[in-house]
Amino acid sequence: MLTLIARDLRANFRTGSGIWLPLTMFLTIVVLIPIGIGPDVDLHATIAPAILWIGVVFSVFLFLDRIFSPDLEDGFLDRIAASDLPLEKYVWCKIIVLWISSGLLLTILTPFLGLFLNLPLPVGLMCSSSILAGSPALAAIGCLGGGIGTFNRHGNLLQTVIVLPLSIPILIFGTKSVIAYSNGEPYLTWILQLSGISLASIAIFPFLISYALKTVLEE
Amino acid sequence: MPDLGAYSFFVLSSYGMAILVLLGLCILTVSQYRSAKRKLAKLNEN
Amino acid sequence: MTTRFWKFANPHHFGKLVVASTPFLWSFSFLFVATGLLWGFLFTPDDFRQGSTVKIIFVHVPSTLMAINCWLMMLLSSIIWMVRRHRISILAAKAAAPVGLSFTLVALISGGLWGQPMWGTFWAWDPRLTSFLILFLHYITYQLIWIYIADRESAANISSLVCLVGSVFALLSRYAVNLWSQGLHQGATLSLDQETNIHNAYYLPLIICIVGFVLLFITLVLVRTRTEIIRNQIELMEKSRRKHNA
Repeated sequence: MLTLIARDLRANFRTGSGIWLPLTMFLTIVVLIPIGIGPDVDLHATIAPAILWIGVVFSVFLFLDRIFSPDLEDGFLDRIAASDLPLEKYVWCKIIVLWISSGLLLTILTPFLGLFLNLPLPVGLMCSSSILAGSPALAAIGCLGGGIGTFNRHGNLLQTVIVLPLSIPILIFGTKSVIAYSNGEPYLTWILQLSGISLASIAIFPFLISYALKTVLEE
Repeated sequence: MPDLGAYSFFVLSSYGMAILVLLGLCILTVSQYRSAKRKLAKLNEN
Repeated sequence: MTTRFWKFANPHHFGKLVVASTPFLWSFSFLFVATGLLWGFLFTPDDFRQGSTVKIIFVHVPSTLMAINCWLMMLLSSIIWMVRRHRISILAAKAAAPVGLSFTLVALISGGLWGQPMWGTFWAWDPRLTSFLILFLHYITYQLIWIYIADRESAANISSLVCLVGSVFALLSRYAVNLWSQGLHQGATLSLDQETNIHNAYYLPLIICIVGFVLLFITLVLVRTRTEIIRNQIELMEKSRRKHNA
């Protein structure tokens, strides 16, 4: 399993785009929205958690079509399905790789970009920890979209519409935790619920995704 | 016709919209059913 | 009882049931919907605060109820498909999706038309409204899967998967938006404890409307499922004929 994760991570690093593209996307959103709003600093601080979170959602979902389709094209997926390695484990590795190369990197970047948005450092750290808690669930959802999206030429549309409604509760919990923290309300429950969703997602989604992939392989 | 007062637009349009959508769905359903049945009958003939 | 129910998993028995029952179902659902809506529209008094807009309730509440119940029915059929592999079950879910989508649309639009005069806005990001919008998105996703996955077997598998995951996440979002501050929307209109119920003058036509919408839903789903079965048959026949010719 570790070799699988290492293999995919190395592929992501080698091509470069695998890790730079999510970062660039994140940066683009964080820079463009304040520019679009104008120099209203207080407004920036109010909507900063939402901007950062939406940036994370977009960057995680940036290239879902590249998760499974290379393996499907070069026959690696068929070999995995034929070998004794359970498909679920392979899918789990894919989720972890997607999470490391988008969610984890963005978590590290968030407090610094929060400063751009006039977000005090403690709130920025809070925002990054909520992203740390929530992004595994986003990665799992993204892999589900990617798995179903490998179907046909409409795959891109399908994965977008699948991923959109599923990411809503994550976004609500994530932004709510940051806003509760900056308002001085109890915030720990939100973070805990978010991590609960994430843990449940990375535990359950591999089974669902491999169900979808088996359907793809049978077709 | 009851007197709807100032709100007549909202009441009438919500009723009209609902009837339009549901009636449209009914007509669509029946026409799809009929065309499928016709096609099956044609296939059975050949 | 159970064996009698599963008998209708046989397309032949199901077809006979549909053919025998649709005339009654159509007439009764139209009768109830027409009676309820006309009674609600013509013979109910205005509310002392809401004026005549209270009449929108006869469109809004039944469609909202059916939008949610339709999703539950789709979830149930998807689970039956995943567990027992009855083809009619998943075809019924497929058939119900456009019906549920229409009910959701009716509920959203009639809610907006009620909200504009009462709250001064067509739309508010209130918990109830938001979760209904999320339900609408889930319906669209489900519908698009059936449209864009051509192979019937895979579409059945994927759509039931999405329905299952979507239900869990729709519940999660419902829970999440509920923790926003209480919005503009009032609480439950109908409940079993009489204390909070609406006035009798509205109660009876509303119940008639709800019964009518339920009947209409059943009718539409039965006929649409039958259509899907026939389409399945057509596809199979065409496939075998092509093989025969080649």
